[in-house]
Amino acid sequence: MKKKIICAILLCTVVFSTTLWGCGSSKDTAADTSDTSKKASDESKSSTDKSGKTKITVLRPGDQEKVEAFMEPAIEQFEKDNPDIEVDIAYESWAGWIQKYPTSFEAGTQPDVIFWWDNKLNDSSAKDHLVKLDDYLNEDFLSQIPDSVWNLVNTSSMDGTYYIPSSVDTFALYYNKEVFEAAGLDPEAPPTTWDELLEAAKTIKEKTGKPGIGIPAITGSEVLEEYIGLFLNQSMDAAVLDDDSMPQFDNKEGLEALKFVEQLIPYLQDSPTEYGRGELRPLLRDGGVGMLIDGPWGVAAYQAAFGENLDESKIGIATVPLAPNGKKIAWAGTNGWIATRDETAEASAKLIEYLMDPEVIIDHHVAYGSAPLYESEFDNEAFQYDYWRVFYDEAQDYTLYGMIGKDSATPAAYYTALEEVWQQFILGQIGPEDALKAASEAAKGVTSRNQ
Amino acid sequence: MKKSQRKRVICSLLPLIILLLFVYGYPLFKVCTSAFMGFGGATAGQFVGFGNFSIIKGEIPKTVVTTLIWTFGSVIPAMILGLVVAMICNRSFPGKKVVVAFNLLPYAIPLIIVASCWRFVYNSDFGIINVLLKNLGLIDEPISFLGLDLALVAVIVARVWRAMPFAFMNYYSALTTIPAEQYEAACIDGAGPVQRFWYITMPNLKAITGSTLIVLTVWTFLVFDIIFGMTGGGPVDATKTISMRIYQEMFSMKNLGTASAWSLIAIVVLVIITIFYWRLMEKEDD
Repeated sequence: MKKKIICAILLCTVVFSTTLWGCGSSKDTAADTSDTSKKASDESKSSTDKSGKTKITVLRPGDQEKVEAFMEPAIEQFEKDNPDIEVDIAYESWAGWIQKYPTSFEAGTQPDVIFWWDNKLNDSSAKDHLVKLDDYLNEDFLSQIPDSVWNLVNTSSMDGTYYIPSSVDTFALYYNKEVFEAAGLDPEAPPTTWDELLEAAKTIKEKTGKPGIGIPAITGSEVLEEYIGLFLNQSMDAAVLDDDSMPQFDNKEGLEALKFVEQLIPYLQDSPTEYGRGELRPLLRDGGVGMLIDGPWGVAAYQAAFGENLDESKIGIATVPLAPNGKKIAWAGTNGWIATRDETAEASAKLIEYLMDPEVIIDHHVAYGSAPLYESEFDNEAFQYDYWRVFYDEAQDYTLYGMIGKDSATPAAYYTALEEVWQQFILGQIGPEDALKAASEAAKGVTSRNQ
Repeated sequence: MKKSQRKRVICSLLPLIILLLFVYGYPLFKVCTSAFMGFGGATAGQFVGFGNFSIIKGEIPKTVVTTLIWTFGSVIPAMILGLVVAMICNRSFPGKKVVVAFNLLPYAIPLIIVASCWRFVYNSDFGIINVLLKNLGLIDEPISFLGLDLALVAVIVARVWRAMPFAFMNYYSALTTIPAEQYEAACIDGAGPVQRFWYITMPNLKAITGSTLIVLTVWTFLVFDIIFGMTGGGPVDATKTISMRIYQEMFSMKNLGTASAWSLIAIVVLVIITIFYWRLMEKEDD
């Protein structure tokens, strides 16, 4: 029997430990890792080949077809303009890159230029690799990006420009005009305040039997935190977490926001935890729900159904309704470019500057359905419609608060920790007061782990 | 065994032992030590004793219970169903080969695809179950299979569907080895179908039942893909098994220490289950 027990222990231990270790990376191997990084960096140094060309790799995660559409011609032109630089394009899906980037950075095999997230600038895997770009970029170029966007992406812990925001995705209110008409609401007068939003959701539910507003609350996709975060930001006129990654929503304004969301709950779609943003869009398209709060990523889904000109379709797009304080505040997430190696910083910065050029960035935005960042992009046919102005104006004129965790080494941990609480709240298991306390504790718990 | 023979055996096994030590021994050692090391903030790289266990202690009871419900809730029905189908297929009937092949089909599908398929099957708006029940007039409002109350049952059903063919394969092959004479003799002695099953079939299937039970238990305990693909461990923590916790600690919290702590907990639970199985089988042998 003893032998069998030993066998059992060995079998189970081996199975688990190898699985876990295979996934792992560790801090106590930091020395090894930095050695590996150095070696990899050295390899990349040798990327200046015999012909004297600097070789760099660029990664824009996402759908390969869409990335190819703008990246290949852009890089071809860049190489023509910069004959001393050779650029390889790496392809990777967002999902794949999210899984891969920690090991990629720790092994020192990350691309030189990467399309990154604004809340992962302090990410423990990437932080030490980010290159300060101020010395390489000209100020005129940086000043083209609105202050609201810089305020959103700046982190207290960074003393320079390490990240150039390229896409700014603000939330807007999408609504189905036919559902509005059926409910007796004016399809040309979407709600502009929280009170009007609640009233519209209620009316739609009562008059049509359809959910007034959709909420994405699916597990693991960060969407619910951003949704609740919008109302918290609007009510508090502050970010969800402060510069020390401590929660700053456990107060009167935070409670006001949650109490408002609680009022919306009867008018949400059934079983909200089954829906992400992607699952809600067909509902709005088909009139299964009256309103949604979504980013510009939703546009493509409706264009596929109704054509490019959504202004003439049954889908309306308006700025997000404002909190009782009347302040113009919106949630926004940005993605942008980072350089990751000192050795290739100059070439990387040149490439970033080129990719941010108004004439180049437009192809990026068109291919990927992102909202325009520069006024000049509206000259393009693809952006001639009014609904693009909604996203653009928000990015220019509103105070923007974005993805949480930007000052933390583990940004994703806040999403995971808060999501459970917000789900309990949306499912009616806990009230707004308890949700606020529990969420605050959860966020503090994550922060304390990193202290 | 002579001394020289023993030496030869050891020498011939040595390369394998070295390889196994490298492949399994080192990771095992690192996981065991990682569970007691700090990986975040000021404690990074330091020995923290049971600090990692202390961080996760609030989640341990619920997670272990959920994991046990998930494991036994999947394994036992899968084995019963596998046995039933194997017994049906052990008889001669037209189209038997097709039925056998059809039963093996779920086993050939990768777990993550199983998860995606079942997620569509359960969907509240267009899932086949809800649509069917609605069309039959049995429900007015869609059933939220992946909602808080039913999510664990929903993922278990998907796992049963995927695990059943393994039990079926094992039982089916074992059934074909039972001598027909035993059944014929039992019939002559007047034994009914229940008696034949109980006194002939079951004793002959004891060994395969034991091994299938252990393998399926360990596999199911470890399964991550189905839950990740169907519910992501939610809603709230309804389907958060130990595997999901390990993933969360590794990739979201980025803390190898707490992930290793969960791993050690899993190892302890699995060892207890396995010893319990073996004890049970030995008792029956006695």
